[in-house]
Amino acid sequence: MNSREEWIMDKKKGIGLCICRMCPSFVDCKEEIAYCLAEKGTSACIKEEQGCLCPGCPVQAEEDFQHVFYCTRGSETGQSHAR
Amino acid sequence: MSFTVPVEAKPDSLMPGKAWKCAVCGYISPGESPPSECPQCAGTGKEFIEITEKKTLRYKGEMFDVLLINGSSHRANNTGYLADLAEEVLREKKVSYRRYNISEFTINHCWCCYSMRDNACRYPCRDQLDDMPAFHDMVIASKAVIVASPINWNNMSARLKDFLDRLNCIQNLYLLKKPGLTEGKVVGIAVSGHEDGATKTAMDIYLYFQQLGYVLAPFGIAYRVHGAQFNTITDTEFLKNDPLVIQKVKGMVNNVVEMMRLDSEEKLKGKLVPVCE
Repeated sequence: MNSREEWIMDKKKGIGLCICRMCPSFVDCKEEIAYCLAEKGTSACIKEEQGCLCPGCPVQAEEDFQHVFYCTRGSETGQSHAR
Repeated sequence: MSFTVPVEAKPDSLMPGKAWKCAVCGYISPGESPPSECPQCAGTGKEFIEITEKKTLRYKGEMFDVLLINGSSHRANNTGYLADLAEEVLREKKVSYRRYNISEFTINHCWCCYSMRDNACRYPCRDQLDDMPAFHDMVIASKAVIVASPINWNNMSARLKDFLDRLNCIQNLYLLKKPGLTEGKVVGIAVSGHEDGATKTAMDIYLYFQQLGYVLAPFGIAYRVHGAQFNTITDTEFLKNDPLVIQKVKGMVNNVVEMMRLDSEEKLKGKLVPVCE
């Protein structure tokens, strides 16, 4: 059986669907969005949680992700492992 | 009376020095100590919280067994006393638990995303702006929930209803054909009031948990009211001196713990058919 890391959405597709740029927490520093899918780490420039659109994002819905604030707290995989 | 949560309140006073906020109505009182009674809502001094920097409630996944919710607007009055009794049993039985007086927290009204489109309401909740997302995670993490409520107009408190309404994102997973996150967990309910409406209040609360797949503990509802012939100022004295209150609330909590220890959640995993709205 494939691991979760292997079957999650392709990053390019995720970036296309991602609504991060509409989020009140978003700070544009030209980094790659779709933080939920990021392999490691969080945003280098988003430091303040001003709200989260992830629960309404098609990436999250399609992937059945169960976390939020990926930009500041880490990817779905990262937050799942943190538990 | 004990509290298991740090005191936190929104700093909405610019006054220098210490200030206290009534958790019931929001009245701000400056000074080294809180007033004995809130001049705005008549709450006792125990309802006042020292104003500190507001921090959103976070839950980082620490394991515990029982989530104890005091659903009253008054954290330290009659319903708070029932929650104190529940804590005594949980400590005696060496159960890991967390108690929250919801008047100390920010819980927004449910946005009812469900009523726009059924798949718009799903865990995690779209409203990440208040303390409720941490409560969602704690409801999912705990094995049992004990809810204490006053009777307000033959119903639970409005604050508690907001809390329970916000569990919709977990309940709605059934509709979306997603695995349930609460089925087989155990619930117990304690209700205190002045005169009538106790069983209705308890059943209203239970219906939420029934829809979430919870099992009501045997003898899992404890309630006690005083009487219409009395002034409400005497309710507290009555409840605190009535042995039936202790017997019923402590018995209910005992039953919740014993039921929880049967591990129905684990034993029923994958075997239940969700039948709910």
